[in-house]
Amino acid sequence: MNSVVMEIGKKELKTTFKNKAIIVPLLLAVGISIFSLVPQLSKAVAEGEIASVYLLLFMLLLIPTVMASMVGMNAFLNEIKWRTIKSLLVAPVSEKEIFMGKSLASITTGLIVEICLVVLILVFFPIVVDIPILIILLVIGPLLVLFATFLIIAATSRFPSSAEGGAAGFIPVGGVLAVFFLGFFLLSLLKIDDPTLTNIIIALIVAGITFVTYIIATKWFNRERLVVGL
Amino acid sequence: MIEVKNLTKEFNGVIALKGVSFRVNEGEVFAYLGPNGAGKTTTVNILATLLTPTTGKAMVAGYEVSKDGMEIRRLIGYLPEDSGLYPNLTICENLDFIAGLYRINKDERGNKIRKLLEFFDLWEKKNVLASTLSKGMKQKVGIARAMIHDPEILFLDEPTSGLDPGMAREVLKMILQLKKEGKTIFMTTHLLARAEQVCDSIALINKGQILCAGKLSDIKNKLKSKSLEDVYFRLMEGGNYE
Repeated sequence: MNSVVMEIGKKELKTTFKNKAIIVPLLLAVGISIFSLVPQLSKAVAEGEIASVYLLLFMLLLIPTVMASMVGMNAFLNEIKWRTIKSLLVAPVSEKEIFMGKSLASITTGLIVEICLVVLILVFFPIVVDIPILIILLVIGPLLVLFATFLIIAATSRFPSSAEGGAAGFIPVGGVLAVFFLGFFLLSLLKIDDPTLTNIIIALIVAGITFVTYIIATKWFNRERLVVGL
Repeated sequence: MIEVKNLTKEFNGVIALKGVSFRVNEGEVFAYLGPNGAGKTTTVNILATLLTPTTGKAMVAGYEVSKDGMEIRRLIGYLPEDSGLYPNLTICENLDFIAGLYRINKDERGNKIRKLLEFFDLWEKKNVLASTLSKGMKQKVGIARAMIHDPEILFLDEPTSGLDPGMAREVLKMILQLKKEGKTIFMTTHLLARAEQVCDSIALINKGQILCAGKLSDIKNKLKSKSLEDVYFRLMEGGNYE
């Protein structure tokens, strides 16, 4: 990976995780979500309610996307608040490198949480680990983290004030829900009920939309909007 | 080295710069003077490729700001009006990050950071968090940051802002030292007497319009003024330069 992208990503992780104002809500969000969803997942697994298990797994996968979004939401807002944005933008760094560097920190955070959740699910729940479940955990989950990250970084780089007060946090959640609704709408149109094929199609939809979001976001990036700021 | 012709900048219908033109030669110290809100920072931001001009042309080292941003960014160092450091990173971490953005390799980085911090008498404080520094120290770290990649041209927006007189004098000495090394320095300042000691050329701007620009000695001769302060107040109070 490009060294500048790594530098920006590393700095982003350092400044984020040294900031208690970010860490505390992050831990609360993960803790509350896990403690509210895990008992329901245990119940669904024990009662063999496959549909509920799938739904709860998808809901658990929203936790890493929320985490990634919370880290990403502050990426540009902090640069503006700390008045460091000009020093970043005046360096010989391309728009794509800044965008990817900022995204890297959120993606890393999201994926670490994702890995912890996958281990938690696979080790502590007697779920039959079949192909559809593996697609959810290992493909759709990470793709959702990428999608949510690109969406929040794009939104807050274009409209930095949207991150103030946390309003921008709803953007990726809305985006993820929209992707699911689109997926289920297409599946009902195509009348597919095979779980493996269903999950492959959802994964392809998420991958496609993630790629389009990345392309739009990097084209959308505008130094002047960030300099003029909030 | 820097050439600005008929530069105009408009923000949502508000005109910040109206046909600004001036020239800065290689190796000069250029002072860009004017009251708050005159358009100094907007001009510097355009020259540093942070803003795009609405109309007109600005060239830095032969490159056009609206087309060759990346080439210009490699050649310039920039100190914003507010030095802006990452508060929860140490002085060393702040400089290391910026050095990374200029693709300076790890070994070279250590030497450069040490040299700069020793020059600014900050080496002992290298592991101190930026949030705990005084305004003057932050400004010094900001200047060190602008110099980390040894740029040809330095844009210093209010480099002496918030510094005590002793520290301001140190910064101006440093500017003279950089001039001796052949650097071109573009600075904005309110300290007219200090600016007069270090600058070769000036431009005076008010309400987005240039009142005068050129060699300081020529301007003083033309206006029969003894000091830069006299030039400044005569033109600000409506005196005619042409």
